[in-house]
Amino acid sequence: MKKIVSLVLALLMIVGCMSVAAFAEQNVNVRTTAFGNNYDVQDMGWRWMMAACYDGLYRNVADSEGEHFILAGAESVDVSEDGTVYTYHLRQNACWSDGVPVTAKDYVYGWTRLLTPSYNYDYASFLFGVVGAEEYYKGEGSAEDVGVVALDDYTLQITLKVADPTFESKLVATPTYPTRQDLAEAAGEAWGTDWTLCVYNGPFCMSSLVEDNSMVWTKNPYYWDAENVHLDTVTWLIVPQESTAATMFENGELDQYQPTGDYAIKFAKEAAEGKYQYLVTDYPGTIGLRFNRLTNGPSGLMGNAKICKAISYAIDREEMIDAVYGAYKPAYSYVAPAISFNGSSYRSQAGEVIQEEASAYTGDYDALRALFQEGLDELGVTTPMSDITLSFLSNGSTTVATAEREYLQQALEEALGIKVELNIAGDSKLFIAERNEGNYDFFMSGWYADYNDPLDFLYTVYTNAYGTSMGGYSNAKFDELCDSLTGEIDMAKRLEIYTEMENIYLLEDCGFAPIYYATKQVLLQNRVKDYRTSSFGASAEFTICYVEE
Amino acid sequence: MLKPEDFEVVGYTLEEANRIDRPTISYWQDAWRRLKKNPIAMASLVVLALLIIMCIIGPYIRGYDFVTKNVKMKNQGVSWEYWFGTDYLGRDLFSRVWMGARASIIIALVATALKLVVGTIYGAIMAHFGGWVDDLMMRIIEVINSLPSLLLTILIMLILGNNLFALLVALSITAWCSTARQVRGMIKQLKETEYVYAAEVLGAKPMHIIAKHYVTNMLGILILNASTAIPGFIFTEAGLSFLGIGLTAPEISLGVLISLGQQTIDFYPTQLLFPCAVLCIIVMAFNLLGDGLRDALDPKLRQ
Amino acid sequence: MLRYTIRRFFELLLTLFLIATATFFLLEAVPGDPLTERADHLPEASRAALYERYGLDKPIMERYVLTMKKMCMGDFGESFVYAGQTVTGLLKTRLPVSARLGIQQMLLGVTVGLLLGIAAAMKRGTWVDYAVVTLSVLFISIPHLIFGLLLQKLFAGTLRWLPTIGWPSGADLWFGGWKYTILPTLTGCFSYIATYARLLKTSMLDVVNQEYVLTAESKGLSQGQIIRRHILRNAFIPVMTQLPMSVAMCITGSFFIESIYAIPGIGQYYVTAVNNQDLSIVLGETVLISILYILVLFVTDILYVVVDPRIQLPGKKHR
Repeated sequence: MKKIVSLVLALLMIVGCMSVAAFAEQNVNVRTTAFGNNYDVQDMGWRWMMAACYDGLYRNVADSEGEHFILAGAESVDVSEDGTVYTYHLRQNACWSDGVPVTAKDYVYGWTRLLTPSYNYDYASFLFGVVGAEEYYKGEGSAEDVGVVALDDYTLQITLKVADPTFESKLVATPTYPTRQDLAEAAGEAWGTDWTLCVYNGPFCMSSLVEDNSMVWTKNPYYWDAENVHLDTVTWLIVPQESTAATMFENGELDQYQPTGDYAIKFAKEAAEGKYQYLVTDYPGTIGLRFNRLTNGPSGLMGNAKICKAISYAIDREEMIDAVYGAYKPAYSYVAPAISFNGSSYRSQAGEVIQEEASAYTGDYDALRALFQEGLDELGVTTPMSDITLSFLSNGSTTVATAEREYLQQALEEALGIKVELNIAGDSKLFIAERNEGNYDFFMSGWYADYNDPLDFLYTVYTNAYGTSMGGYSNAKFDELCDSLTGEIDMAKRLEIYTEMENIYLLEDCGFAPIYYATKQVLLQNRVKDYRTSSFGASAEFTICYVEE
Repeated sequence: MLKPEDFEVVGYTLEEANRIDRPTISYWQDAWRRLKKNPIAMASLVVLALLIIMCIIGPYIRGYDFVTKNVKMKNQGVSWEYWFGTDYLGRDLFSRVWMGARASIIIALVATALKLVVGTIYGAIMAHFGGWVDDLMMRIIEVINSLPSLLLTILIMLILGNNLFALLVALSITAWCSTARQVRGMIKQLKETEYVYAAEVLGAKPMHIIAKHYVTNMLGILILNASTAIPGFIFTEAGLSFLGIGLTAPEISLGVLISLGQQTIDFYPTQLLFPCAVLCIIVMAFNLLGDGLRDALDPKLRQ
Repeated sequence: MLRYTIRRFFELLLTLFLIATATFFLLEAVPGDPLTERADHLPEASRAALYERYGLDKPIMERYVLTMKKMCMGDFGESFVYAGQTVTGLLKTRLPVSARLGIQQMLLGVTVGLLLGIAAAMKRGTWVDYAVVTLSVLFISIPHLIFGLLLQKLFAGTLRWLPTIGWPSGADLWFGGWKYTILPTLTGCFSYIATYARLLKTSMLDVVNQEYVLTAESKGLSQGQIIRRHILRNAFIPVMTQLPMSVAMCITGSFFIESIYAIPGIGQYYVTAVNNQDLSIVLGETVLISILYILVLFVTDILYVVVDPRIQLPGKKHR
């Protein structure tokens, strides 16, 4: 009898253990404030979703070795000796979520689509290094002449005009991912907007969406590396208020969220005690003040480098970051430290551009005012500095946005003895409208990189590369240097050119006053394991992540 | 048996017969008398008076500069030095709250004045002309009323930009309709009342009728209107700041302070608590005073 | 009655037309256009193509005529924000959500409010009266958003009794997932409680002073009979006429509550659409709200006649 009892007990325990294991539900709840509403890979609509639900030739990884990319949709690649022909051998076990194999034709279609002029994709320029691509995009060539060919179902050949060391890093970005011709063409206008028409070749598939509420991704059984995907679902919840998100995280209703301001400080402390996991990583973004070189601003002074430098150096970056953001790192260059070049951080190779000059001025109001006055003299302006008013364009009504503009306004007024007038746009659309009109002397602006090379940052201020969004900066010498990079494969030479370009932009012309380099803070529950964050692929990488009970 | 001779005339004049011994009490005196008897209304009146005094002198009591940043002192709690603590740039919250209350009350008062003036004129024109003018003007009101007020408010703020003028327009653009309707109804009703008719028959001059009957009757309604509109406007101003389309910092208003304060509610609750408390007190005082006024001004409740 | 209804119908059409026109031109007057952000980084040629695709390259009057024509056929066009979706489709999924929230709030709020109002009127001058007055004034003096956040902090945060955000969907859309709806309902119902408690109290006090109540009292009717037969019945007239307005308002959603609790209703969606100048959505929803509003006015007019025989329908000449 005893035996039976103990046997039953043992059985019960086994069942109990099994059910516990079964209940370790492989799901993570993640916070966001809005959904992308754009599911077109070529548009890089919602980057987080794209990178988790789709797969390209390469995949970006951030691990103990730092940030790098590995082959994903392709098994191997052969590069010709002169670096112009890339031949990719695709994985034969990679399938779309409807079971159809991913073939080289899907890549060819995706790339052709990206270049088709009528679709107006922002990122078409990523492929301009490919033979015939720019011509086709500009309507001077045909799709057949573009140097992307499917040699067979699983072999993709790409021919570049000249060797380009930055080319592979661009293939991490979703605009170069494959697209199914049959589905995209059947969907027509609704492609990328109606998610139910999409198929996925990445680790996850979108499976449900309630607008303004939640979104669920489920594991894609057809993903080539599905056995290394451990999560069954990823649930995105819209939580507009951060205080709500913090409550939910503490209650365990959220597994991951990115805290800011005081929440970041609080949770970092609690994470240090082992309650949570807290990851802080560099993120490839630089934010600062962009000066008006479009019209030189309502004051007419913004064309002068000395005046702009006086403004830039009047900002005590360390103090401002501490007072306003409670996160990030003070910035003294344009290209962010998260950008690597030739295997290591670009910044460690090129140094900080304006730090030396800035440190000579910051805090010394007399020197700053003298510098500003020199600028006025160069322009032949006789107005006394106390009568000068500069217009600062900004938007947003969060505490951070408010603190940011009030801090800058007062810091500049105090240091330079000028007046700074705030022009606060009601929303981002009105902000853009004002900016396009040139109704500002300077505005808060920045750049978050799309691919891992300093050129991505520097190219933003190439004449007319991004319309008026970069303050209308233009310099023939800068453009010339940029053009000279084409076909340059000597990395030492490239470094030299990059450095010179950055010096022209920040030191000679001072078109931009960098304030901070972005970082990313991610808060995780302890039960979430192997979560990764990266800068260029999925900023939240769930591929190998799992939940431990 | 009494005879007429037994009676003596002790002095009798027509004036004496018609004399009223009690002092005559006008409508307003009567209303004030009844208002005084209402403890809640009187308390709110006192609170309002205090609030208004604080709005005038409050920002200067502590002698701090409430605009210039002082980042070393940011986000301080309540202390002897800073009675309400400091904000995200280290500025004295006590001074800022009263500055904000001042702005909010001024905005509400101006918007109310706009509402009453526009509404009264519009309503009077409708009632006076009647006929197709009345119909047309009524249709305009109907269209404005049927448009969701949030839509109109947001659009006006977007069109005119984030400034005080736009805010005033946005607040009063729909508000005047109800006043106009009330005034129209009131005048139409008054035109037909017996006492106005009697006054006309007795040969009262039009100015007298307007001053004595129309204005008196309408003032009651307008005062009530104002006492409910003011807290409403203060509320709407705060709500718009939440949406990010009202006033934005560095402008100071209760709405701006509250919308900034609620973002840091978990860490510095005082930054939300104090502006919110002042807002609630103002709104409550106006509402309770309004209740009292309604009772006081309603002749039916006269005892 | 029939003639009145027909007249009202034509007035409705005219008002709707005017409303749609006003909405269109107001949206046009906002600086920038719905594509400003999307077209921000595009070169000139691509930008022109984008505008052409959405028909924004045409002159304003032409677009106006086109929009109105389409609208008459019930087609509000494609959304710019929720690209590829139409306003009818979106309303179909969102309207029930807002409607349930609104109806729950209203039922709870109105019931509690009326009970409090009766209590306050009957115990006039006692602590019950003052408590109700203070409470109702307090309820309308605290902003929704703050109230919602505090409730959320308390019940979902500290006590952990209820979920922080969310809303039932699918099979639970109407009857189910109650625990999700408790906090939003509570947040919203307070303003109803305040409104109705005050309204009923005031109107009951009005009625108490009427001659017929005095007559009833002198006839020796019991207190309960007087309240039921004479006071409540007459005091309900303003309540009855306020109710339809509340119904109309409750269905159109509340921006703040939907935003705090991440409820996918139409309130949030409307504000986003207005900010984005999303013409089709704004137009569609505005017309919907206006129809509701006008219908409610109509119902109110009829109700007046039903509950109060002294009033005649407007349009009929007196005497």
